[in-house]
Amino acid sequence: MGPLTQRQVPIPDPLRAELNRGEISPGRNPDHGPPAIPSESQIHRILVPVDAIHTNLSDFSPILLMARWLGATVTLLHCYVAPPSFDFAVGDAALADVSLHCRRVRTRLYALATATRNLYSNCIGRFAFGCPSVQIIRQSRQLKADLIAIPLPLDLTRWCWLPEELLDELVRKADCPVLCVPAQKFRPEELPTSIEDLTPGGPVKLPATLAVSKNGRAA
Amino acid sequence: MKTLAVKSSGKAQRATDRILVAVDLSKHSEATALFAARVAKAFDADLTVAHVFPSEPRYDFVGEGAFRAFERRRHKRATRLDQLTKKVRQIVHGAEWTFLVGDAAGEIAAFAYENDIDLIVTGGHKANTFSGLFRLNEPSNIMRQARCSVLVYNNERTISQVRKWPTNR
Repeated sequence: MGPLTQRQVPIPDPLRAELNRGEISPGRNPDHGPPAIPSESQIHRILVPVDAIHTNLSDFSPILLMARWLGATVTLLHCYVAPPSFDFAVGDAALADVSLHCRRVRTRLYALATATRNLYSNCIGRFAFGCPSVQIIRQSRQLKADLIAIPLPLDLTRWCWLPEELLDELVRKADCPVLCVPAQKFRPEELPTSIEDLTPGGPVKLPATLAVSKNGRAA
Repeated sequence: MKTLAVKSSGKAQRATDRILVAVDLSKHSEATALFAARVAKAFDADLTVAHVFPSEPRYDFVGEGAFRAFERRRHKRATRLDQLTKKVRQIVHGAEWTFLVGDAAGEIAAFAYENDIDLIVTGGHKANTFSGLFRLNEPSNIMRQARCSVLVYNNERTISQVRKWPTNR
């Protein structure tokens, strides 16, 4: 079954290889942006597990602010698990639907990563398959992450992707420190100012909206 | 794509202004406090070292000796907290300490709320089956009750890394 496994296609160039592994979203290429403020901390790589469907940019804006201050690389990670609604699906159409759902979620992750890079350029998106708690720990080891920063939503209806038990497990088993950041009430006029304040240069242009169409593409 | 231009206010905003490190004064507390000190220095933030001592026992049949032992233990903990803060002050000069009494997670969360703390740093030990069953894991309790960000530092695995970190770069 194609989409549920990592792609094994011939790779023409290194950039393509990174794209196929899901390390680069198909937006503009990541640049290093303005020079970061030098820090004493040795936190260089921050892994941010997100739910690409439900997590908003405002949920992890404090993490971006922190990463900007520390000059760290932010990796957004979505761990894909086929939703329970597919449990009773049968036939070839079921597989096609799961594949389609997976691709749409991946597209949402890339749209989120692209929107994030407009605020903080040193950010990539990564897509993994499997249980969130296991994959987060595995990916943090692969990336040699110095910090796992988890944006916690305010409303508990969005909590289901990472329940409390899994969060406890993550805290116990992770090799690096785990930071839980509660979501803050977001006012769009405040976020650009706070990010921009850290930029030594001139004004920053930010996307007013990032509309996502029904087929999952960023408009 | 529509864009909007934002005027600069000319003032750099710190991501974290006030950091609280909650320690249980066990053998891992020093590593946790030093880690928090380095984070505070990185953010140029104020640092407070806090320890929560459990409330005094409320038994009718306990004699005066038990309360005297309780007070001695309390004084000993306060002294150790002061010593730990002195070590932290080698990295963050203005570090302060606070000694709280009561339920650990509740007191830390309340102190953080009252003092506008932006980040709570606490140590995470390996939980065994017993503590997992009965939810005796204090870092998780702090995470549930606090309204600010909580950083759990797993010092059993990264204690050697902290000692390697230079004080001044």
